[in-house]
Amino acid sequence: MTDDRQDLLQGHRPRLLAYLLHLVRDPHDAEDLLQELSVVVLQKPDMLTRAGDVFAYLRGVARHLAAGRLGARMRSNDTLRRWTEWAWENDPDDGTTDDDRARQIEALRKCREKLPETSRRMVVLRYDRGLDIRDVAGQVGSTVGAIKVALLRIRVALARCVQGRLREETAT
Amino acid sequence: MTCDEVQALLSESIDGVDIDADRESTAATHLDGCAACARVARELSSVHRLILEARAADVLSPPKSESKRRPAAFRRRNGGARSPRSSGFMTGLVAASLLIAAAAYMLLRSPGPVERKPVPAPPMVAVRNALGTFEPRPAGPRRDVAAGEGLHERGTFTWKDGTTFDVAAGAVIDRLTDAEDGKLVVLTKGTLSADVRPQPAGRPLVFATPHGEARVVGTTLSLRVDPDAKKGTRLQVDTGKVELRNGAGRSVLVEAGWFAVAASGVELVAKKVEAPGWQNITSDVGGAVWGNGGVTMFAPVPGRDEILAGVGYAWLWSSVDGGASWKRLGDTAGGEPIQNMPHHLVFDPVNPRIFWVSAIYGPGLFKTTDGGASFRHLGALKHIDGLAVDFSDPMRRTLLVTKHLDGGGLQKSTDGGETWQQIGDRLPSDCSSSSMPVILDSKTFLVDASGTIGKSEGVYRSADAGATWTRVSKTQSAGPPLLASDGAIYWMPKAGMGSSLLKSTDKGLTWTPLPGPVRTTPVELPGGRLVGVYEQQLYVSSNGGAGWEKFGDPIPIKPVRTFTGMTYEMAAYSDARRTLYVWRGSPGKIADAIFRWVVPE
Repeated sequence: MTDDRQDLLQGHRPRLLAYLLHLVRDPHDAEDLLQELSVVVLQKPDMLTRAGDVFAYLRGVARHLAAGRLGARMRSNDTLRRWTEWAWENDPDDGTTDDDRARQIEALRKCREKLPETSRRMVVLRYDRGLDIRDVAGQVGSTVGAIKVALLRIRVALARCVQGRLREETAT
Repeated sequence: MTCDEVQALLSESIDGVDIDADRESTAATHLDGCAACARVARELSSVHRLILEARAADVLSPPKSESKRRPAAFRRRNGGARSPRSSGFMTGLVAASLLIAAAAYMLLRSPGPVERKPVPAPPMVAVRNALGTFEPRPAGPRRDVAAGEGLHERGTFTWKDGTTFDVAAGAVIDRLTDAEDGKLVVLTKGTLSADVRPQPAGRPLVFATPHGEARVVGTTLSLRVDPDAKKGTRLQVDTGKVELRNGAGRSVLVEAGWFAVAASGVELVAKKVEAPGWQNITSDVGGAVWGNGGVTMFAPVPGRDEILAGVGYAWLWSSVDGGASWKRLGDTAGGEPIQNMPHHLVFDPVNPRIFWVSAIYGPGLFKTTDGGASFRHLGALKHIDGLAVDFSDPMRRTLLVTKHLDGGGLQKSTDGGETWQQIGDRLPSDCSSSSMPVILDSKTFLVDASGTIGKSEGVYRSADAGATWTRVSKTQSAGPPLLASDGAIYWMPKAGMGSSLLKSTDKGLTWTPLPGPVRTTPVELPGGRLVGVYEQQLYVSSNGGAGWEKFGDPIPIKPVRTFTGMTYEMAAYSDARRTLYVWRGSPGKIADAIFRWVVPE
């Protein structure tokens, strides 16, 4: 693999790991799969440069590997996938800089800090520890239905908060 | 499935919850047709991805204490990972996080572990970074409106750039925002009218509704979200141009004086706004030469923006532009066009491209299965007045027809109209003719009958599929009745044979005369109001015909009675254009046979 290809793959690693976390939820599984993916790409280096949309190609490989790893446990809901994965499927290289992305992530971190304690804990359990809804409910002593509703509200609240922070930064 | 349910399902799907395939499919269908939910879906996906990328950034560039927990091979290859590559998320989030507020608003109404109480905005409070001011009507203190706030009462909002819009009573604006890629107004219910100042390049004002989006650069317009989701969002542009995009992602440019409707399953096209008042749409219907009877039949096609008119000895005609132009139907080679006098038309309720047409003074019954492109002559009967089809039978095998001015002429077919059996002879022997059969279900039929006044004339009912008949009204009816959505039947009396519109609420067993002035069979508007014609005036009833009020301007044409004694002065309603039509017959070609009037909001 040439340095260019390595650099190309390297640049996609954070986004690929995020996608793998979306697919498999468990952070250890996601990290293992990222390693597997790196090996696969190393074995077929030409595919990387032949792919028209490198990230789309790598996502396809990631999905294939995740399906092989998880089998029946792989998230299904194929009909809704084009909506839940909209952010990945519509990821044009539109000139947004790394700095912009870093600003967004920083804004998100600050917004997470402002969440109520219970909500903050749910985000940690769901996203940082990769627990499923049932386990999150068990950890916080709530029902599965309440956790589902809460996570939707939390996402809504975070999105509004991030947008507000970015706008304030832009204004100043 | 409601928007709340769809958005909850999306969030569950993001969390990896397995969803029943049917619910998933229903939600996906909803999302394809609901622009607001589609926008929320994009936002949920975007924020979910941002959380995961933040987590990935932590994992790949962790504090030293954390890095020990990760696999050695991973640490080796990670080698100072670059920050994430460019992404379109920011634009998506800023532009659209606005609609997430709509979801938040809905969620606040349902119980859950994260409680938020809406804080009412105190009057006259200056809001930091206010988008503009809102002045309630008819009276109320003017107040600042902050980004993300909604408007739930009647009044006028004035944006800082001078853009104003009036919020009608009952309208709900879920959220107002001003982001980097433009302004956003989320209208979830009701009507608003806007006067939009020219917007900066690349930063349009977007009105989002559950059915689509209108992108405005600078113009005046009105938007209406119909309570019936099938009718969607109607955009009307008074000046300038507006791009309307529907939930499926299709868009149309709507210019001044035109309107368009974004709704699931409705073709997105711009149409010219109807001028106020009555409009003559006779145009070129019927061609150059009309035969006796003039316009003898008129019918809006259910669910389509199409109207049909039959002209004596001059074929059946169709207009898909509200009557501005007409096209002759049945010209297809090999078909059997209607060249005598079209009389009555019945649409198949399942597929309105299938319909039957009766005709007099020639071949009696025709059927089309392609919206009138071609017709087939059914059976050998001629000279048919009215027809009825048993729609409780999916095969449409049972039909009734009445032969024109022919004693005992009621006929029944059980093979879709190929062969016929006379059953009119089961009516009293002194009944001279019937003009209109009705099939309420496979057993229950109605028919009018001429006969000895006070003895045999009236309305007859059969409860055994036409084997026996009982007189249920002494007043003879005429023309096709209105079978209203609440089950009531309204039937006009034959001209000169009665002065009151008849109503039955028990499937024709008993009939009650209604007070005037309306005597002709009415049409039903969405919501159940009835509209009827009397002389040169429309009347509306909101209580099932118990009382009538004048409706709209006087009709510009006078009623005409034909040689058959029946007035052809009738009303018809087309939901596609919210338009009422009246028409009249004539001995020959006239220039003012059909008129239309747009029903006010």
